[in-house]
Amino acid sequence: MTLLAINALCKNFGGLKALSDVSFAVERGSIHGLMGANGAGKTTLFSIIAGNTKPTSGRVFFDGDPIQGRRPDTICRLGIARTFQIVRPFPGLSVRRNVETAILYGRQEHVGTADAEREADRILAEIGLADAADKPASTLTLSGRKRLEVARALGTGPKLLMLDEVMAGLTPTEVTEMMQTIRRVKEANDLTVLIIEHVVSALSDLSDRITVLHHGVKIAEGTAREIAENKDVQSAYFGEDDDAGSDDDV
Amino acid sequence: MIRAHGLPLAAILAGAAALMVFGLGSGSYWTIVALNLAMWIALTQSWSLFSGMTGYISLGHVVAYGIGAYVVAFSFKIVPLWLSIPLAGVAAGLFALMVALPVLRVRGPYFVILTFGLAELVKYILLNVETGLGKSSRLLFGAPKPDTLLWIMVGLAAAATVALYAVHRSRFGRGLDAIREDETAAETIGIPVVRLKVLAYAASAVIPGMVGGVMALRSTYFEVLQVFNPTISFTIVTIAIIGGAGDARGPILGALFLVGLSEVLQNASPQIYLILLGLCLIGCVLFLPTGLVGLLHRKGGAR
Ligand SMILES: Nc1ncnc2c1ncn2[C@@H]1O[C@H](COP(=O)(O)OP(=O)(O)O)[C@@H](O)[C@H]1O
Ligand SMILES: [Mg+2]
Repeated sequence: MTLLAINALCKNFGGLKALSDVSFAVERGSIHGLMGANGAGKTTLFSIIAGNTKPTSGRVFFDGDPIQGRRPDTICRLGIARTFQIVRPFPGLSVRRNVETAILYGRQEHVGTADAEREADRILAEIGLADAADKPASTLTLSGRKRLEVARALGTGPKLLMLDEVMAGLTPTEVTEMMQTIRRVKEANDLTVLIIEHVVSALSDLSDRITVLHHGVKIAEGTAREIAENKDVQSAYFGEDDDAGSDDDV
Repeated sequence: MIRAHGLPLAAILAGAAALMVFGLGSGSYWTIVALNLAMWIALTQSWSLFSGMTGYISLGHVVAYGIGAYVVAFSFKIVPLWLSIPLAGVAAGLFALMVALPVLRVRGPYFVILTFGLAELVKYILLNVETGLGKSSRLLFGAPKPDTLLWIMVGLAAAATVALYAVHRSRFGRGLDAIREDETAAETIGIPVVRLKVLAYAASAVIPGMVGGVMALRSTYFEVLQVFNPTISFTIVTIAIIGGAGDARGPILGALFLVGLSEVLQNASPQIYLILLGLCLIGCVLFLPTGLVGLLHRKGGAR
């Protein structure tokens, strides 16, 4: 069954076509990978789904309902959570308070402040940040901040968790840990995951299905094996400079 | 930070209250000093409820004060004071609610300038209205004695302090904290940022409206240019910076400091007073970004 459906989505920034007529569906309970070189439009797609950016045209269905163009806080409470590729913690608040705030506001049901604190500690333990709970978020390492992004997204009690390059910049050991964390958290919370990752091996390993974007156009979709053998993907990915384009966020 | 109270709010409150009660019993000079102290506490706590919490610095809070003063002066001897003072708060709150949406669209220095400009705009509109009515000023004969007004002002200061303390601990306050830290992240985790900002902005105008009403009675005289004095807005921000806007103790410390300094120096040597105030302000901005209240914290932990 489909949880998220992207339908003919277009996004222009001035003359730049960041997304052109992109359509695909994410199955409930799956891990769906999103692949593509820098500037392919992956983060823009996340921003549109989460309501941070308005699409130029096209539609997004969540649980069968159109959600494109709605406010981000509304979309969050419907059950969609995203992380930011360029992390955006609340730097002056403690790590626990970061997650608590997400619990207090991100869920459909009302949670009291005392319950929120307990729940935050549970999530921090699950993500491996329990030791840092009382520290200001600004003191975390990059790996810690990426984890906090995930913890805060989980705090909102999502059905769909969208992870934007949460392994970028991590050491190989940290990447392995993060992959385990993602799998564990997905099973424990009965989630559907849409994940952007530059580390192709990690993405292939995690994903049930992968969609590939190139310059805003969907060029392939399939299992990791199908993607690896796809000629268009090979020429797009390995035929040109992988680092073209900028890394703008939000 | 609430949890890490080095010096409890209660102790500071008790100190300020003692001074004010002292003011009640000891003739007019101390009554006026205590009234001023209570006024600045009430104004700065209210300001903090919005600007301290959200990081949107309002440099035009006198607009609420002025509107409140106008409501009380306009309705003087028509509406009883027990009604007109609350009405002054309601009017200031409603005004803030009305202008909040457009005003809160801008951030940072633009917001600061916009709030300042808005207060000036309202000042000149009311000036024209009063001129049109043929009233360059209004005399408020038979206003209550300073003693009575002091009690009301102490009540407003206490209410503003309790309100700020309560907001700090509430879900609402957590939302405002997040908005101050990162508005985009805040809305992405489900915080209705616009609604929260508008509510905080309107709430922060209510008590200043009543304060303005009381101060009009205190001077037994109302003139638009006098009540819409931008110095009031500047002083609120000065107190918040010197005292610290991190929790409800900061504005009390800041007001004690400012009123104390002003009593000691202003009459003897206004220039030295202003120079010292300026130095303190610069010193706090550079070396004590959390204000005097920051000195009370055992260690600079996160909230
Ligand atoms: N806010 C914006 N304004 C203008 N151009 C943008 C904006 N956000 C992204 N872009 C551009 O859109 C394209 C896609 O960016 P992005 O979605 O960040 O790609 P990816 O996440 O796949 O690396 C890039 O060329 C980028 O420069
Ligand atoms: Mg990106």
